[in-house]
Amino acid sequence: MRWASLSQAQALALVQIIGLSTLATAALVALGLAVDAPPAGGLKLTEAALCSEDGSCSPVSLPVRIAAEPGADHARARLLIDIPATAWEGPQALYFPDYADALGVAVGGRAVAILPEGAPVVINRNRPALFTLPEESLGSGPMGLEIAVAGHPQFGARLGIIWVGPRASLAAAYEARYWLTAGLAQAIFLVLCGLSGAFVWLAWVRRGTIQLGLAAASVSAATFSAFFAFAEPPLPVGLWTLIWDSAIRLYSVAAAIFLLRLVEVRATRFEVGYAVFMITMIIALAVTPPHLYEATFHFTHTLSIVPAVIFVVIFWSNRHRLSALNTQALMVLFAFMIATGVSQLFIDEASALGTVITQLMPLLMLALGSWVMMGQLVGAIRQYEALTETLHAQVAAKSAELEVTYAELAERRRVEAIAEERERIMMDLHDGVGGQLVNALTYLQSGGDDRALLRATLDACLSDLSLTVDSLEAEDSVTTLLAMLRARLAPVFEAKKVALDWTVEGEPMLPEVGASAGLHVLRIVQEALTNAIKHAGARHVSVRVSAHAIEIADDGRGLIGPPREGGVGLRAMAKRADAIGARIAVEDTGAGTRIRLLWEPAPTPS
Amino acid sequence: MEGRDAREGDAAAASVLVVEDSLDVARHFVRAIEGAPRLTLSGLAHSVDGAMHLLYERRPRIALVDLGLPDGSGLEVIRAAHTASWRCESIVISIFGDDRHVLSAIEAGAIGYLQKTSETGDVARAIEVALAGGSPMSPRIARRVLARLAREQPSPPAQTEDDRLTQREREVLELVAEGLQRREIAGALGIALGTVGNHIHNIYRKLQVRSNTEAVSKAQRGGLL
Repeated sequence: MRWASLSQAQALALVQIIGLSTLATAALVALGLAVDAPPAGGLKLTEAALCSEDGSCSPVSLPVRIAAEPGADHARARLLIDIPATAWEGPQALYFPDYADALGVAVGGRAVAILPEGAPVVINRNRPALFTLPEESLGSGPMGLEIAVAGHPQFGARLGIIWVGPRASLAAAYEARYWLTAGLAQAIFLVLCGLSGAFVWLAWVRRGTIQLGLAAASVSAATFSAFFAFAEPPLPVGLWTLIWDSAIRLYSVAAAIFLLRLVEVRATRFEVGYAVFMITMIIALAVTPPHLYEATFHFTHTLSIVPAVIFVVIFWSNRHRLSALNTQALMVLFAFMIATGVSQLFIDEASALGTVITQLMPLLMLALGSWVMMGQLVGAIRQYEALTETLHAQVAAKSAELEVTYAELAERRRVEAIAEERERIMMDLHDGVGGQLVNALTYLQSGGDDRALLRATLDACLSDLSLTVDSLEAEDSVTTLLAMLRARLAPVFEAKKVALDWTVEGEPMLPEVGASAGLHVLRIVQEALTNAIKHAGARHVSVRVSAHAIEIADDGRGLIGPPREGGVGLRAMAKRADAIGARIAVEDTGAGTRIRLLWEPAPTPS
Repeated sequence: MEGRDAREGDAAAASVLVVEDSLDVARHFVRAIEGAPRLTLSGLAHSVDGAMHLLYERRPRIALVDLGLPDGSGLEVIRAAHTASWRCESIVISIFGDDRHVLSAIEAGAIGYLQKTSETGDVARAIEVALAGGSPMSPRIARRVLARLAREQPSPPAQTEDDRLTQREREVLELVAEGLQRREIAGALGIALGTVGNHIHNIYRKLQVRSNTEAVSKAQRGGLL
């Protein structure tokens, strides 16, 4: 980053983070002062004499640390403290806010707490201690306080400042501190266990790096917090300490990877490097002799600042991928982290606040991380919903378009079909009824007055018209149409004394269906019958209707011979037959004429 | 004329009410009735209203009814005649191609139909034939009746024995629908010509009974009875 080209926004962010850090530092210092307020009536003991095994003593100021000898399984020290002469009233107590890991206490030569030989059985990182003194054990004169302290070799023994004074006020201070440190640690442990369960489940379901990172970070944080929550180690102290230390380091790596994935950064080299670095540090700690553990611990943690800074740089340069709100939240957290570091300079080393912050930090970090992730998840769901909605809208629009297209197509086909039928009916009326009516009118205009002829013509018109109307009956089969024709013509045949044989062998399966086809068949048969009785002078006509043919045979003079009106009729019949995909066959049988309307069997739908 | 027993063989001439809105056609029928020795004109109506009035006032034996009347359908008149307290047969005046209407008229109670274009002599004869129960049946009406029966086949409505068509009656209908004439049907089924007429008469009667049953159930549903 070139500082010269710092943009206004970057400068603003810098100012913000510095301001926030300052505010947080002030708040923490104030909080620390409040938390570590001296208990009322209490006397603070800070001067002690550290005595070696051989009995020689040297003055020290509390807090004091005693490292373990190389190879020793614990560090142990004896301290002598003078309680100045005070006018004590009521029951008194000794309050140890901070020590590690076990204490032995004697006042005026009387044992209050006994420290067993050997390594302590507990690990004490955050628990205070309170000892009620026996009645009248503190006299009006100066009193000698003897303290034995033992600690595990990894971090040595530690003794912080000591309070002596009225039991009631010291007990209150002890209670407050206990809940702020050990109580809080247990609560945080429980919360982290719950979070771990949730995130591990999420990682199992989603199987993404981001979820895996979060799950690993939360499990590490839970392990880390267990160290603070339970005084009695479930494993050998060395191993338990190593696990605790490894947990916080793995947590750093997992949290870093999670946060980078959150801003969609895939810094593979950094991530692998960070992990390798941390594993190296863990191995170094594992092989370090116990008495050098603390030194290695501090050294490795100092080294860890380097990858942490690299992470912050990478993360910060990609923070625009987060929403403004999340960036603000992260900034507050970073400011808080800086503030915790800075405030350590102003707060008593033994302050409860340091412990609180140390314990709380992973939880805060995880809470923030999961909040940011939930925010992104919700955003993703909203995006998905919006996308789905758009998709649905598009599908609906396309469907509507298609429907319109189909409707238009159907409408066009319908209109075409109607036009076709209209054309057919017009042609039919024009050729049939129209022609006959024109003939009749012309006959009348030219002075004709043969009523019988006129009546016959009008009858023929009606008959023609009824044929047309018949053919429009959508429900009727061809057989029914033919039967109607036969019923209509029956009186004519009767009047002319012509016998008509009518045989139906099957319903005609015409190649084409519809009113037009029916009408064409009707006209053909009508024409053939009319020919037979009008022109051929037949005495006997037979009609045979079957699935693939209609046959009209007569015993008349036949069609072959001198040209007559039937010629035109035959051509018209052939044309009609053609229109329905059939053909006309005319034969002279010797005894008369046989006209057949023939068609190929329609393919039966299977 | 088909060989039906002349049930209405009483000496008194049958009175005929003509219901027809076209004056020319009405005059044609009036002339035909006046020319027939066994028929007398009971009255002439041009509307449903007028027809109802004359029907109950003159109590005719026969009503010749056109279906398309200016103030309603002739079916109303046919129904009224069919359910009248005295015996009154109605005959539909039909034009070509309206068999659909003829069928509903028969179901409403008409005993037959008469072509509008029939010659005067034919009118009187057709009325007498119809009275004798020998009204012709067109192939299309036969086909429609069969189609209706086929539709009803799966679940025949609750009906009495007398309105269900017999197998033979169905066969007759089938042949009528194919265009065969009574003589041919008789030949094809090996029965007497008169029997064919009986069958057709029974088919008509059953159609009317059916329509009556339907009308009653409809009326019951409508709260009229």
